[in-house]
Amino acid sequence: MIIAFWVTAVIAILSGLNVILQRNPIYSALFLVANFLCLAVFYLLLNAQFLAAVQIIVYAGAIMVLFLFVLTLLSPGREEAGDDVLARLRLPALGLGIALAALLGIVVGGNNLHGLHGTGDFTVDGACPVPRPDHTGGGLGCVNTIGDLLFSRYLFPFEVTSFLLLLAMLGAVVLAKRKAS
Amino acid sequence: MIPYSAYLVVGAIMFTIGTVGVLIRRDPLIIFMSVEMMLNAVNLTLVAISRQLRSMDGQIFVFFVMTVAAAEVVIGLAIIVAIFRSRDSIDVDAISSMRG
Repeated sequence: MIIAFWVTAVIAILSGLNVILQRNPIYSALFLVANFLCLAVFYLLLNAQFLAAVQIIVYAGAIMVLFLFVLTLLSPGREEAGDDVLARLRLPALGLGIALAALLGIVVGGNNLHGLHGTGDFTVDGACPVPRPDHTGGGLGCVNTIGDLLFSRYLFPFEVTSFLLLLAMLGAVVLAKRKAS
Repeated sequence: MIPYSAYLVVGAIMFTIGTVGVLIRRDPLIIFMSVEMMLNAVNLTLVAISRQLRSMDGQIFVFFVMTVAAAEVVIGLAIIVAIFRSRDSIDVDAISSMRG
């Protein structure tokens, strides 16, 4: 488990760096797929089996296919050309990035997060018991636990989500429609 | 057993990489990918803390974040394609006005 974590962490960070450093957007997209798969491994290590599956299906599957589709649609092989207005901003951006990393490091390494301990609502031993009627006691990350919560405590956000997806679909159709000339 | 703060550190590093990507790249598709990476870093943080607290709230939240990210990518890419159609270029420096 420790080996799995460190190998995955190194791959995740290296592929993340490659996403922003590759010149060719296609390579960036493929490195992003690797990054998403690493995230799925992390989810498996963290008792989130359902989210790991959703990560692969939704991100590595649907979203990346959409990205690659648009990339190949818009003039394949194009480079970032012309005078680079952002070139002089590159060094300040790096400094800002380091500052942000230091800030997040202080938050993570500070004392305020070390007191977090489980309240014990859900079990993490790998078994998936049926949740109790008060929606506690299920296995953490199990499909039956997530379903139980989505259709009880989180029913309204779940319904709003369906509306959001409908709106996104309508918006995409409207935006992609050619104007009648 | 991995301390959960290790996951938080990985999430913080990925978030920083995404931020720097948004700042230094000019291709809107790469900027989009960087934003996706930032969303994923936050998701990792939520799942790690959810595991530490033995609470499902974080994982449910990640589920909703994924839905919003999917909707956002659909709309964003549709906008990029529409801009490319009207101008034959999607360089972010050239798209300084929101007017069609």
